[in-house]
Amino acid sequence: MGIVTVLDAIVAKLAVDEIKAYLPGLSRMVLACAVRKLPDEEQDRYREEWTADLSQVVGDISTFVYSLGFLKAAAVISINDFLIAARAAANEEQVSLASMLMKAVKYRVLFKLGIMDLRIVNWKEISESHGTFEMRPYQLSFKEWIRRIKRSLRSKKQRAVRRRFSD
Amino acid sequence: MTNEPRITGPTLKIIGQFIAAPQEGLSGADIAKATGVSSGTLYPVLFRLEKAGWFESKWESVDPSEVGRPRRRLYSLTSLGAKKSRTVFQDLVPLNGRLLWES
Repeated sequence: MGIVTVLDAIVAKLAVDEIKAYLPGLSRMVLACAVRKLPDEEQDRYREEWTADLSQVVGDISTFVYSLGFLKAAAVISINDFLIAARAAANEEQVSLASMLMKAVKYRVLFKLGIMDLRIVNWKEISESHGTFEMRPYQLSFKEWIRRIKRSLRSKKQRAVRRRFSD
Repeated sequence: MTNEPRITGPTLKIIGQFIAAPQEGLSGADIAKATGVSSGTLYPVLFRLEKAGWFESKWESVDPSEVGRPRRRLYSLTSLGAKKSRTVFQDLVPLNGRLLWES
């Protein structure tokens, strides 16, 4: 019993040392991953700012926990940036449909989250390619969420079948 | 549409930190340490407050190669932010050690 306890303690100590050795690298990886989620124009600024802030945090575990927060921060900042841009665009007299689509593709994270979506309301056509509109975020109902998941699975299956036939 | 930031508990804590001890500038890590707000909540709040013009930020004026670390981004309250914050805090009343909205 005594030997097992001692062995347990040794193994636990080695495991903790091993994990602690990897933590600084992991923190840097998490930071890099979070920065990639940010809008392009904000990435350089936050890379430097967060690296500096991370160096102020004491302790490997605390540093790692602090870096995990960057993932959430990056997702929320991306959404906020998108909403601010969408509001600004909606306030403009005219907005190009092409630029709006580019934004929508860039911030597909909103759709990936699966719980929130944007709805275009009050669309008024000015010409074939320009118009005015308002964008309003809304939360998907559970039924709508399930419907979207089913549709996504169905299209995945269809793509797989098409790929098999094309090969 | 309005560009006013949403006033939440963490937002009040962050603004309160600047009102209680107005300093030249605080980094995100300094604010997190002083307020206890997690990094995942802190940076989006700072982002919103900066976009709304309540806060401004600038790079620390040091040479990274001399100090051996990257420059910190220092946040400070703008005059608009100070004015708006006072209005926000005037609407709050203390009750049993907590703050409640008066109106």
